[in-house]
Amino acid sequence: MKRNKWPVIFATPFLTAYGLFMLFPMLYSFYLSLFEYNGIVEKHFVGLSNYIDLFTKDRLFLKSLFNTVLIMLMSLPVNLILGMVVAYLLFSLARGRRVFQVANFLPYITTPVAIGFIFSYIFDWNSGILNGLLTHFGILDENYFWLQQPWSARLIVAIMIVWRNFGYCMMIYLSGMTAINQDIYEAAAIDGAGRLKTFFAIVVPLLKNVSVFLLITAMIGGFQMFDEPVQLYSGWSAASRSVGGPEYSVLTVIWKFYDDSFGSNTRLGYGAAIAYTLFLIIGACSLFSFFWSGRKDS
Amino acid sequence: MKRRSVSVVMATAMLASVLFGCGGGDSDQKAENSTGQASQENTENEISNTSGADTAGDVSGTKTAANPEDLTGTVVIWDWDGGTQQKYVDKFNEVYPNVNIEVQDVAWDDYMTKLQTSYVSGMDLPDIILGEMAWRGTLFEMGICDDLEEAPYNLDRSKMVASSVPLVSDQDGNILGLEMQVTPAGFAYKRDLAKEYLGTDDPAEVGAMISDWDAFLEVGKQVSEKSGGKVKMMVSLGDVLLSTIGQNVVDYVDGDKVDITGKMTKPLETTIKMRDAGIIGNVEMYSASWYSAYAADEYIFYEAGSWCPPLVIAKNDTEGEGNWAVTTPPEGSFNLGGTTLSVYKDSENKEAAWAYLEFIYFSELGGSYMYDLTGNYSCYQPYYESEYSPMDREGPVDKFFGGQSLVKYYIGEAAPNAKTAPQTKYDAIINDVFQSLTPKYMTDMSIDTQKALELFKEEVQVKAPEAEIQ
Repeated sequence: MKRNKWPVIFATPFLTAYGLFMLFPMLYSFYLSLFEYNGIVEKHFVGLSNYIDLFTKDRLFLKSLFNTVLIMLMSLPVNLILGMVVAYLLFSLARGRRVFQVANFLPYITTPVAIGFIFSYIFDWNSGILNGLLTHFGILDENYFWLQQPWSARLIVAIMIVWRNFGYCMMIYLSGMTAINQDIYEAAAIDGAGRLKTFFAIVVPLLKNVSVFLLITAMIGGFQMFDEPVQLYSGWSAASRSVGGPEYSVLTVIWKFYDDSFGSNTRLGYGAAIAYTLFLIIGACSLFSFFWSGRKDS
Repeated sequence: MKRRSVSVVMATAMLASVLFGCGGGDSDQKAENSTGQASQENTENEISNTSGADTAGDVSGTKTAANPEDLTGTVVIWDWDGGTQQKYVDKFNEVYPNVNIEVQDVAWDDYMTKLQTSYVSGMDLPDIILGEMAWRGTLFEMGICDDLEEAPYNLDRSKMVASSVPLVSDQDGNILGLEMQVTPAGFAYKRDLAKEYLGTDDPAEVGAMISDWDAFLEVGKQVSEKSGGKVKMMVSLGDVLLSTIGQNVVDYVDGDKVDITGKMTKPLETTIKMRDAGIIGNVEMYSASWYSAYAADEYIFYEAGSWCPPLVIAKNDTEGEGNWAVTTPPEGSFNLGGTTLSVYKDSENKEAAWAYLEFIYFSELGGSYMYDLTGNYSCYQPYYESEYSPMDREGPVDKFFGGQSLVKYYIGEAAPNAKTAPQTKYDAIINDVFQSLTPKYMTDMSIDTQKALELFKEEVQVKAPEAEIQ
């Protein structure tokens, strides 16, 4: 039997690149997570103690996990709901649909640095537009320090995420709505269903798979939250540069990983342990969402 | 057969494209800068005194010189302000034509990260490494900078401006770098406001009125009363805290024991006192409002390291020519900011690297180039007594300061009295914590000195889990 070698030859470039740039770093990171290593002095094997320290000694790891989940809960449902609602409105729009589509999608392709600037200027304590408006109309007596209060800081990061990402959800939903057979919409209309009824009885259930896809990808993206809080507190636009914002309220897991590995410290082994722990959490959440949506289906 | 060859070629091309796609060049790094040490593109007063090869022989006196033309090699410098460095390189190459200095731009924000990751991954490090004050202690503790008093450098520390020596030293007293410029601080002030509220704009008289922080507080209360609370002494509480941290030079690190109580109690006490008296503005340090406050007519004093007049003050108060002056801060001068230049311990071009550093940063002629190109003050002490001395020459922003000789203030008055200390990695941590906590101190009036200190300790502990905080 002659074996066909061409598949192997064609797969080799990808597999080589994958092995070199993905698989090897992943495995090496795990190996590194078992050591205390700062890149300068010799590696020192510590077993699982980096992982144990994360949950027992490091008061910021659990806090960063809490912040990440909290900001995700504040932004993810809004993203999905707003995305779907705006998509539905645009879907039934007769004129100017493309203009609105582009306008809503633009923030998604805006560079995070620019987003950092925009939000810093809006929420700045002394010269921010929001404080200017609120004090001008007498709603506030004096400027409120939005970026230095833990809860308002989290809210601002959540708003940044929604502002940036809901356009993406909208586009995916819009394509999902286009894919639904036109006959179904017509049948509903003949049966006397209004637009609201059509939305809840047809669009929402038929777009379930799209929603699950968006939920899982947004959750994975949410756990990797980094750009928005960093741009707000450590980027070019940041005034008082600080890691994690006021009282570490917007310190996310990836930011903590970055700070421990390459920022305030160079604890590379510890950083690798954070990365692996996050990997396990993301894996577990993805599996949970997957099976949860499958169970409801059956 | 032909089809097979085509397939193999295509497969190879795919692999190559994948591999090359992953490469990245250092040279793509954009030159960016975020501190006052940066962007000194403004002065281009090339001096007419172009040196010849014979001048290079005795530029510093720390090393017997060979013929500069015989020296060869390529020296790499990572700098966030490559434009200014390149001007110095051009001057250097007039005398050392066969030394190739490559200035590679590395963003200020990324500098330490890039250095550490390059070192860890075994990549080449530059021959000359910059140590900005924000990370200098960390850099020195990495053990990658050569002791400049050893061969082939043989630096003579007695020729360095005295206040710079601790700043370029590690905790063991080894000199690991040269100061890019001497950076003592003063308090700049607006002459018109000083006249109106203090009764004089004379630097000596104003300095005497705020001789210590208690006097500063009293003057602040009077100003506040006179102006109906409109005029404040300084823009931000951060300015006060940063000054007082710089002034409180104590030996607070002993191995892993870090005496934050000793280091921070006095600065926090003064800062909280100023806050409670209501004489300091409510502006967040380094925010857009903080920069625009230079042009406002609500604040009298501004913290001013030697690099601030040209880089911060003149640039942010474009209409303010002639309305500025600088005087001694309460309780004396201290160091503010600054950047060192060190030689990488595994550099293969140490002699060429040192020739460059010595020529520009540790010689009479180099001091003169710097002063004329950027207004920087060399850390080479004999320069100030030499024929090139700037002491009686007008500096680039003297006119902006109402004709006051800034070099006389910064070098003649401030530097000899500035309090300075060797750098440890905890200085960088204190700087981080100071920035993150100041907004809280500003807004939460219930925080007293004791509480402020506790918060500070907690934050340092988070950033340095291995340290025993006292």
